[in-house]
Amino acid sequence: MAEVIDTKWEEGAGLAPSSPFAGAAEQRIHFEDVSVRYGATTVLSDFTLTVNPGEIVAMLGPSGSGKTTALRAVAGFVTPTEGRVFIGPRDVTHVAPNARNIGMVVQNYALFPHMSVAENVAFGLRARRADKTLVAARVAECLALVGMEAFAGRMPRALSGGQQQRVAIARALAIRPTVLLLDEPLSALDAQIRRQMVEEIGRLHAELPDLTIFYVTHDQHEALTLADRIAIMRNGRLAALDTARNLYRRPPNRFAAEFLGRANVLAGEVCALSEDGRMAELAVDGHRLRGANLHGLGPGDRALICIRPHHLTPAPAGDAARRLDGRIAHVDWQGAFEVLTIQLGTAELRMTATPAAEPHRIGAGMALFYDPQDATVLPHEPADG
Amino acid sequence: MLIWSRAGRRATLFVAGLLIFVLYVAPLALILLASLAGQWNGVWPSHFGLLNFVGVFQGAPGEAIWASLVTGVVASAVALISGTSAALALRGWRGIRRKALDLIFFLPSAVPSVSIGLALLVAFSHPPVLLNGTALIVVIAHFVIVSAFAFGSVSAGLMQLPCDVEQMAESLGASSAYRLRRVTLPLLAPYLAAAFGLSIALSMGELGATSMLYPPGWVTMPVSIFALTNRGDVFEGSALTVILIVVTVTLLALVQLAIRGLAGGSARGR
Amino acid sequence: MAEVARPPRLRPPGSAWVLLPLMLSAAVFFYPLALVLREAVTDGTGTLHLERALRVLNSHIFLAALTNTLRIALASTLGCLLLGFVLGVVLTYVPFPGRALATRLIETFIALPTFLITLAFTFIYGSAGIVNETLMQATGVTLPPLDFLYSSWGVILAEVTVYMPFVLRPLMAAFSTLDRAQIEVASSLGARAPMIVRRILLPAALPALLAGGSLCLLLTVNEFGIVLFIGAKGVITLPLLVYSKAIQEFDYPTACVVASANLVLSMGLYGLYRFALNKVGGLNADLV
Repeated sequence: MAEVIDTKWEEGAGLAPSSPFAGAAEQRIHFEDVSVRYGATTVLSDFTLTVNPGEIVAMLGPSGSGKTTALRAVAGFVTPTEGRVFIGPRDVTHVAPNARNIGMVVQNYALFPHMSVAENVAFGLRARRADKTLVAARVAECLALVGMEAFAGRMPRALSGGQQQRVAIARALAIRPTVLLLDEPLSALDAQIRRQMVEEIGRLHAELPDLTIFYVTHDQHEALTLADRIAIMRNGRLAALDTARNLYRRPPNRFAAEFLGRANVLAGEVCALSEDGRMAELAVDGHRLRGANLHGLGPGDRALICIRPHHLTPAPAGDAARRLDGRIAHVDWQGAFEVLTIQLGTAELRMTATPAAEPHRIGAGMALFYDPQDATVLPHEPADG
Repeated sequence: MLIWSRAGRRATLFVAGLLIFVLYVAPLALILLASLAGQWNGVWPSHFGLLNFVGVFQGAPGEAIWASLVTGVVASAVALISGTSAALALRGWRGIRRKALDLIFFLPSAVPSVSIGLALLVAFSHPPVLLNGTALIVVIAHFVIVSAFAFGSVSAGLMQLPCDVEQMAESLGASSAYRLRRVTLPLLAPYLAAAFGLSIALSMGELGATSMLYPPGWVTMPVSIFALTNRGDVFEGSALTVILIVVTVTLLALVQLAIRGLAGGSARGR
Repeated sequence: MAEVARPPRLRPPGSAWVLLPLMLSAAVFFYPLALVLREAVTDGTGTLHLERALRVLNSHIFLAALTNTLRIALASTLGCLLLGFVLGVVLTYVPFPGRALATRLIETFIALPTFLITLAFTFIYGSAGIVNETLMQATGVTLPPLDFLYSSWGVILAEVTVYMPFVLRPLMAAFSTLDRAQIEVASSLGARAPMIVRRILLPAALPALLAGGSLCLLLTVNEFGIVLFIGAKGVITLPLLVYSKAIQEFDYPTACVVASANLVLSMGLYGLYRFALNKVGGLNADLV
């Protein structure tokens, strides 16, 4: 029965995963030099990216950075001005949205308000004239996948935001999409439900390991938790692309360092290198700071050093060579931890610490320590406002 | 919240209440009173009863109710179909093309109804298309008059529809026809119902064009009311007016119910 | 998201669907209207002939009708704006029981035929109406003391009553989007009602008043039923002139000239209304 339907899909949509969410290269998304312009404004320029089968790639960036445009180009609601979009081996640049076989979930759920939960989930299959028994089976299966089987008969407006988004995910999965596009899926939910849904999506991907997910978000927590790789967007361009771990530990540039995890970035000049050249020492405003020199900078080069706030700790007594002496400029208590702003000459460093028993005094001296292996030296670029 | 003093609020409300009473409540009440009266000598009418309504239903004015209903329903149905199809077609259009076509479909609402009547009279009084003296020419005039309203309501409704819902339908694989049938039209249904009901109400009250065009056998309610009151039969005229008001208000109530019912989601797909 | 600010693309269900409505409107609206315009500027054989048109346009009866139409329309529109603003403010900001019902009642008049108010007014203000009968019984005079109904004042009062809801509706929509905290803050800063009305409510209401007012102007210029029902001898407006020339005198050529002039006036006012509506932006004043 299912086979018959699948051939029908092949005629209608041109694409059909042979078994649920399987099929290797079919489920790849590939952008090739994609630019999108509206008149004089460029919202996406020379964007090239491949999302591999079974991978979750998160597009992270401030609003207006072009990430939603990229997603909508895959869905077919934005036509690139230049470049091509591929799904699997197929060039879909000019293929209509309804012939792409894509699952899409958007921020405000976009459930059909006049249809019940089950009818919503069944919609894509019915649009493909799928057999009734298959529809029923698939609807039950997908609702079970998101834990909504008890709500099949409800109308969308009788559901909470989190429940509506589960239904939207089930609806997207019911058509056995080649790829799943998630466009800020959790932004409309409140913080607690959002955390729960992040886990939920993670679990879903564990159950459907072959499902390719392209996930647009401005929330770095979601990106770090879920994504295999993170693409950071800035002004319509790809600013950084790497695995979540690498991007966090070794940000490739200032924007990535500051946007993902708000690292401290100080500007200075390389004054010494280790023997193998892999560590560099920067002179920053009278202090000497060391970090990993991955970009091969040489003595005399202007450079940046990036240190994560949680890598800074109060210096152990006696280790005078590696300590940084500063003053507490500001304390921001956040419950389980506190963020101290330390004045270091003219520069400021943020560090996270477990709250002290005695409140810190503003202006008190503070000696800092970090492991130079945790700091990254980057080529110089000007700070932006 | 605007006026905090008790006396100020009382004075304001008194003036506003008086205005509303004199301009809106009293007229309706007096028409109702007159429709029930048999005589009006002195300040207040007297000899109340239902004779006027009996007279209306037994005499020629009763036929006006039927003529008005048929005219309203047919003209509104055609206007709704034509307006919906135009509004759907124009939906993807932008810029000057869109503005020009909007203007074409809205223009009838700007033309005095008497002129519409005159135009139809001038155009269709001679062969090859001789419609003068038929009920059809009245229906056509009513269609012209409600068409802009129907088009406008459906266009406004389309603008209210959540666009992402329809895009979602498309991305789930629905063809244009399937999306139209299963998503766009069901979501549009409350607006269509409202446009239909209000078009009928509008047509029921139409006087200008109809009085230029009506044939002897197809007298609508407003024309009949004018004829009755003009020859001094104000009581039967009032009775017919009350019937017209009741029909109109019933239509409005039905529209409200339809909107609530459809928007309430009791309508299930399939 | 800024990125999706542009209106999303949706494939229309076929632009060809506009053809049938267009043909329909061409056949029963534009073609007949074009014939009226042609009739106005040609003689019986179809050659251009402006003499008759100019004669009609210079005639005393046409000029009187034009003056009457404009005077009545302007006065009625002003009345609608004034009454609409006062009632709009009271209905929105001075709570009283039955407020919803009163609003409902007034809005119902949008859907009711215009002439019914004149019928009611003859019962109230007519020569044998309640007011006059009461006054005559009280004072003993034999002639009706209140005698304004069968004049342009009667028409104006009726039109103000009937068309005020067209101002009220967009106005109340505008007020409903106005943050009430503004008024509370102004009050707490010591502003009294007149100042709040002048400095906060009136500016917020201006676009809606502009849209509603221009719509009123268009509708009152085109109004026919009220003038016909009141039937005052001296009060002839353009639509009524068209009617009487065509139906009572069977003088179609003259009727066509008057109708064409009326059409030009209405088109101008319609342009004004669309302009006002554009200024207002999304506000949907109702064009019925």
